Amino acid sequence: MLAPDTSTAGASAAERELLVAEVRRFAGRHVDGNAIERAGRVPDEVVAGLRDLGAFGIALPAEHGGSGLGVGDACAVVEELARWDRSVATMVGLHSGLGTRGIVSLARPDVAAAWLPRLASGECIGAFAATEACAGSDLMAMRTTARFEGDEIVLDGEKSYVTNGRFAGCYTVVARTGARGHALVLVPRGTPGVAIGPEEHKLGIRASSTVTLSFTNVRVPASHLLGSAEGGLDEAYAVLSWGRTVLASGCVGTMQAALDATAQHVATRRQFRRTLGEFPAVRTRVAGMAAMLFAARAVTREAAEAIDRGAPSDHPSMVAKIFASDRTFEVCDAAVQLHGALGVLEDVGVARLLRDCRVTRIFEGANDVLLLRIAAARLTKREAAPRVGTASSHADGCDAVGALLDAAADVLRTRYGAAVVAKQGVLLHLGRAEVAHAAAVASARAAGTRDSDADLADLAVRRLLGEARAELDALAGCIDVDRISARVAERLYGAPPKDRPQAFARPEERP
Amino acid sequence: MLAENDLRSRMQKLVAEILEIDAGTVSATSRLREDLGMDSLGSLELLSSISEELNIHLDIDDAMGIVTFADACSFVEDAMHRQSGGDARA
Ligand SMILES: Cc1cc2nc3c(=O)[nH]c(=O)nc-3n(C[C@H](O)[C@H](O)[C@H](O)COP(=O)(O)OP(=O)(O)OC[C@H]3O[C@@H](n4cnc5c(N)ncnc54)[C@H](O)[C@@H]3O)c2cc1C
Repeated sequence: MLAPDTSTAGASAAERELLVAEVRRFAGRHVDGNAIERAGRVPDEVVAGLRDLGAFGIALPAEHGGSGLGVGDACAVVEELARWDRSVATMVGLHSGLGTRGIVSLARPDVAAAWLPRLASGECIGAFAATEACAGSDLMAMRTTARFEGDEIVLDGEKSYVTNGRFAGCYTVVARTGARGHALVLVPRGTPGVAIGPEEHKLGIRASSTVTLSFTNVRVPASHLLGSAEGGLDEAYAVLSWGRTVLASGCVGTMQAALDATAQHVATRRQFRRTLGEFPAVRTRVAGMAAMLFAARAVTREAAEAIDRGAPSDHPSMVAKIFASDRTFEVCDAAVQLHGALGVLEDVGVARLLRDCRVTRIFEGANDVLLLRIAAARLTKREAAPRVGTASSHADGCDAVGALLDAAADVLRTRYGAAVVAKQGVLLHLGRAEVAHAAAVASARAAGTRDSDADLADLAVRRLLGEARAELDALAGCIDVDRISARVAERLYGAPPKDRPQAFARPEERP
Repeated sequence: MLAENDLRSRMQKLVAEILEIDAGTVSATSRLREDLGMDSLGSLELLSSISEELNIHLDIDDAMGIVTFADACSFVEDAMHRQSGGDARA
């Protein structure tokens, strides 16, 4: 087993290192990303090996056979797996986050006792089904229904893009229970009326299972209701904080893989009688990749720590997800560029990293939509932007940009009032500024920690504060850009009837 | 100025449009969150649409205390009264 059987909220740093080292040893021997992609599925031997390691039970309660560790430990394992293969990391990450959290936190004790031991051992792998063809970012539009009939729940409908769906032993399904209510329901694989569609062919994570699940008069015991019969969307959003944080840790692993491959390549490839790495432009680019990796790791750790100490985690997990997934794409793109033609050859591996990471900017909340939510929350909550809060040479710089962010929010509130929610161009700039600033603050805080590198923190903070300032500058001209864009859009596809911020009619925010 | 009843029925229509529900299901006592499924941002979306539609300024901070549909209507009415003779046009 990977970790001691303990019910404490997290492993010590030394225990976590041991855990990661064990995963690394296993993955180094058995996880070949290119071969797994070609096969289009995660091999049975890899799944069996992960079971033996206890990878499926890390964050599941010790009393149900898990290791009882925290999300930070699950993240450490997923990050390491993602260095070797993103499909494997996605399988374990989805299981550890969305696939099991609803059951851990909301299942009745008898249902938890029946399912969690199997989920902890990996005999049963978890999946989560919320999205539908007509309900992606707009989950309120979902049509799948759950009816209560006597001591049963009856489900009808169809769910799209279910990760792990082909082999999962149970699915946490989000369904409509009335005009406005929703519920999470645990549906065992093989329940009559559940049909599993064919695998989707994707741009990346090709060995990760993605299927449509349809439910026709599917009956499960009423005890399989997870949480309340009405507040399922709120509960789903709480589960998403876990999911997004684990996903961000996978992005960190992918970035590490891209950086490692690039550092090795530029140190050996010679052009113009020098190694590529000797050119200042290349050095700056590679150092920038390392700095963004440093920042992504810092924001992801902060999100995981917030969850592990029971602090509000909606905001930090969204920041981590947006930042880590956007920067992974940027870092993988730089890796392909610095590899030149070799970068686009599949056997070299960096092309796969680029393809694999693209989806992370879409699933578990499209980044654009999450940015709009972050900005709207800043405008409505009246909380000051985070300050560094520890002794750091970067504190003044970060806090000055934090103050600018607060001032910009005040100006927008005063100028537009409630109408600001419809100004999406403005909100996107504000959201991006907020995410860049939060990542700078996390990097500044991480600068003093044990395994940090002062130069990387310095590079990360400088760049991110510059980006945050640029986004705030862009706010000023953005209303004109919006107006011109609306005219261009009208010529391209006909203008929408009204600028309505449809993303926000969601019951995910708890007061 | 809009008559109080006109304003309420216009707001009722807007809520129904945004939530894609029947306007008849929105009553004065409907709670935006519990009964209509709107979170704090959803309520703001509603007020944002109203503010554009009626061309009035609605303050974000005061808007956060709204609980029922009737609260929302009173909030908008108050803002219209304050701005009447100014730039509020119906
Ligand atoms: C490989 C893969 C695995 C997945 N796994 C799962 C899973 O296990 N379980 C599950 O339930 N779902 C899963 N999903 C679905 C995923 O969560 C959705 O794809 C995601 O939420 C976005 O929804 P959508 O694809 O319908 O995009 P849409 O909602 O159609 O959005 C497309 C784009 O439109 C823009 N947009 C949308 N709304 C707004 C708005 N209000 N304002 C401004 N711009 C907007 C954004 O740019 C967005 O990226 C998976 C998807 C993929 C690709």
